[in-house]
Amino acid sequence: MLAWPDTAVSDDAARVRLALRDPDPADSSLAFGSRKRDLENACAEAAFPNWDGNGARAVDLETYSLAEKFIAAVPRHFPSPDIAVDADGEVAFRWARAPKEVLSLTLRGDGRLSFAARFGDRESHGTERFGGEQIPEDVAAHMARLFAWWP
Amino acid sequence: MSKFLKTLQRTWLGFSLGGRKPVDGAEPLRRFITAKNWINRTTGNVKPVAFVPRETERGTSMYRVLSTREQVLWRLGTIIASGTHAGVLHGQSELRARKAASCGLDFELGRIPSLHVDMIGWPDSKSARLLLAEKLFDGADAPRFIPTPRAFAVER
Repeated sequence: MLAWPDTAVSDDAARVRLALRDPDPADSSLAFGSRKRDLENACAEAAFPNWDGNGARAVDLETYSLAEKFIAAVPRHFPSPDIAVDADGEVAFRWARAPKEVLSLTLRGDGRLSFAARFGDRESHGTERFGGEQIPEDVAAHMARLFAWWP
Repeated sequence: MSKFLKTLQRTWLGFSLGGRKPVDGAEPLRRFITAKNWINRTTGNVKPVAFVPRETERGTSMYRVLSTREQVLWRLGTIIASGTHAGVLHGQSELRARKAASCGLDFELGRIPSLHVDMIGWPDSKSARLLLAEKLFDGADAPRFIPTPRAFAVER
């Protein structure tokens, strides 16, 4: 099942649908386990105030729980993101094929999802909401674009 | 070591009369990496998010090298790291000032002549900050990670 609305009809959309299909439940479960471990490790390190020595905010339970839902919403056969915590205590996800082929996100406990994407010289950034189920359409489109060409 | 003594030591080690000069484009600047989750296991480099300041902050805390001995910089880093829960300095990320300038960032000196500078000029929105951090890591002059030498690996 796709984690975002699927209403597109073009050839590109068909290719994206194919790329977004979860192929093997066993592989999927392994991938999810690995991402969850990465999330836990990052959040465990950032669970204390001033965890960076420069006054960083601790990651809170709401942020952790929502981040867990976010990684569950990402199709599991996709490459795993780099997971980190930023100085605001938000969980950061990043996929990079090359320095100029990158999608960077941060998720806050109240559902604010900030994103920045670079595809060659085309750039975009903005803010969406993640409620815990569907990945917002704009972000999903960037993911699909990045992953459609993933080797 | 008490918090007061650490602050004193940090100020003393960071003091530099050379810190009165404006930052030159060719200068290397260092960011102390105190969180393991900021290091990409695959590439061995630091993740761009390590440079993004808090939304309530104007700048990213950086240190100039100037003519300072490497030992002093590492000592300074271990003192900063000792204030964290884990107390570990993982390394330093080195960035050339001109790279920051090419991304529209600037450096603000403190009142006391010091190695410390704030890398300022970040946009207000979080998403624009993320984009700018990505640009810092684009190209041959992207920040490079220097792991902590064994002699400075742990400081509590």
